[in-house]
Amino acid sequence: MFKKLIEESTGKSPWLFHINAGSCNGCDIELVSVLTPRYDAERLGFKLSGTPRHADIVVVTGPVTQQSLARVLRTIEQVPEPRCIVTMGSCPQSGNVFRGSYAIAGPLSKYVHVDVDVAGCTPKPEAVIDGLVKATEILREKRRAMK
Amino acid sequence: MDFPFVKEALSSLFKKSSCDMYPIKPSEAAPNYRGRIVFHPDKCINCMMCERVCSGSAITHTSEQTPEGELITRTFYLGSCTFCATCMDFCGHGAIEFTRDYHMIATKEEDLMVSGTFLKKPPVKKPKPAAPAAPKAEAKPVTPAAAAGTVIKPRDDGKPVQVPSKCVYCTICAKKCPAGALEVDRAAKTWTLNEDECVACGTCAEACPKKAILMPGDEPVTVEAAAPAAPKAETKPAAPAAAAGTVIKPRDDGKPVQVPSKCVYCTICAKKCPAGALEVDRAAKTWTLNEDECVACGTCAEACPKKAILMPGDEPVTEGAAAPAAPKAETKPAAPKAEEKPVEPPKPRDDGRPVQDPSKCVYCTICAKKCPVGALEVDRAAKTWKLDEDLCIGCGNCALVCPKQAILY
Repeated sequence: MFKKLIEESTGKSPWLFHINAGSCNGCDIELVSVLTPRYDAERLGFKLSGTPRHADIVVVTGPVTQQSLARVLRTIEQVPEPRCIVTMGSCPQSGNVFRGSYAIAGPLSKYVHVDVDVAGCTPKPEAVIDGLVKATEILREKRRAMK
Repeated sequence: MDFPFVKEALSSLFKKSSCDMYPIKPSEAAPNYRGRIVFHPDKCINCMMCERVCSGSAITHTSEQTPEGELITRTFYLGSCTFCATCMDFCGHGAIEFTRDYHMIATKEEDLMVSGTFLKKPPVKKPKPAAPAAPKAEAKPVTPAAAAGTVIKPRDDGKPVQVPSKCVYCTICAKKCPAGALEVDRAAKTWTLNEDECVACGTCAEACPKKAILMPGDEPVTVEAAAPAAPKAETKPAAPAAAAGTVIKPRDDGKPVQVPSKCVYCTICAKKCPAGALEVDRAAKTWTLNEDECVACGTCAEACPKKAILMPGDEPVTEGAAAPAAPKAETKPAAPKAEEKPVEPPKPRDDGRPVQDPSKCVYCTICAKKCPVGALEVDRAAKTWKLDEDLCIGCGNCALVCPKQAILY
C-alpha cells in the first residue's frame, strides 16, 4: 500500500535537475523564473532538486560544449530510470548560433535520447511549463512501461 | 512580545494570488513577441537572402527540377532559430512572418520544422503571369505597330521597366547592374531582366543615358509609333585620309578607333553615342573621343554607315596612299588612361566595422539601404561611401548584401 502511494505521488510531483551545458544564461534565468511565484511551477508539483540522484526530469540548457560534454553525460547517468530529458532553448537541439564551432560537441541528441524539445531562444516561461507538463506525461508512460 | 510578520501573513491570506495561473488560464504573448515562423511560399522569390543572414543556419532549401520549373522547398528549423527576425527584415517580399505563438514543444524534430514549397519558373523569354498589369520587363523589338499607344508604367515592386522606344541597347544598364540581373543583346535588340536576380536598386535607371528605364515614381510613358531613327544614308563623299601606309588597329580597351580614310564625318556616331562621348565636326573634319565618357559600348561602330570605326575583334585597316593628306583626325587622342592608378587594396579593420573597396564598389547604395542603423551614406552621383563610426554596430550586414563583395568585414 505504501509502495502504491509513493508511486502515485512521484508521478504527480516530478523533480527537476537543471544542467547548464555552456548556456548563455538566458535559458537558466527563464527556468528559474518558472519556479518563482509569478509562474510557480511548484504549483504543478515541479521542484528543483539539488542532486541528479533525486531527479526525474533533467533540463539541459546550452549547446553542450566540449568541456561540459563528459560532465553532462555523467550527470545524466546518475539520474535513475525512468527519467525524462528536456532540452530548453535552441542550443541543445542544434547548437544554434554556435553550430559548427570547434568548442561545441552538441547537439545533445547525438549522445542521449531527448524526450522533449522546448524551442525558443529563450522559450517563454509558459512554453517551459508546457514542456514540463509534456515531460510528466512521458514520464508516467515510461513508469507504466517499466512495471 | 512582538510578532513582526503576523499582520503581513494574515492580510496575505486574503489577497489574490500573485501567480499567473498559466495552464488553467491561457496566456497571450506580448504584441511584438517573435514566436513560431510562418512562411508564405507564394511570396518567396528564392533570393536566398534569409539563408545568408540567418545566424543559426536554421533556414535551408531543397530544389527539384520539374518540367514547369524548379520546385523549391524552404525549411525553417525552429530548433536552431534565435528568433532574431533578421530573415524577416531582409525579406523584401514579406514571405517570412513571426507569429505570437510560443507553444513550440516537440517530441520529434519534425515538429519544429516549418516549410513551404513553391514553383520557381525559369526565366523564360515570355512575360511573367505574375503582374499582368505592369508592362513586362521583356524585350520587345522596337516594332512601332505593336508598341503604338501602349502606356508603359513603372512597376510596383521596385524593379525596372524598359521603354523600348527609347532604349538604344547600349548595354550600359547591364554593365552597371550590381546584381548582374540584366541581359541586353545589342544585335538582337533584346532587354531581359532576370526577376530573381534583380535587387531593385535602380542603378540601371540612373545609368541609362536615354532615360529608357522606368522606376517607381517615374511618369508613365506613352509609346507612340516610335520608329527608330533609321541611319540616314550619308552621301557626302569626302575623302580625307591619314598618312599613307599607317595601320590602324582596334584598341585593346574596347573603345572605338576611327579610320579617317573611311570616315565621312556624318556625325551619326556622335548622335548615337549613348554616353555623349563623341564629338564630330563635319566642317573641320575632326572626330574626337572623350575617353572618360566613353563606355566602350560599340554603338558608334554599329551605327557607322561607312564602317569607319574599329572595335575590338575588327580587322586592322591599312590606310591607302590614294587620298591627299588631310588634316589628321585624332585617331587616338592619346589621353593617359584615366583612373588606372594603382590603389592598394584596403585591409579589414580590427574593430569589426566595414571597409569599402573602392575598386569594386559600384555605389549601388544597397548597403546603405540594408544597414539596420543607417550608418552608411552612399552617394551614387558623387561616388562617395561614408561610414558613421558612432552609429555602426559592426553587424556586417552591409558586407553580406554587397553584390560586388566590395565591403571588407
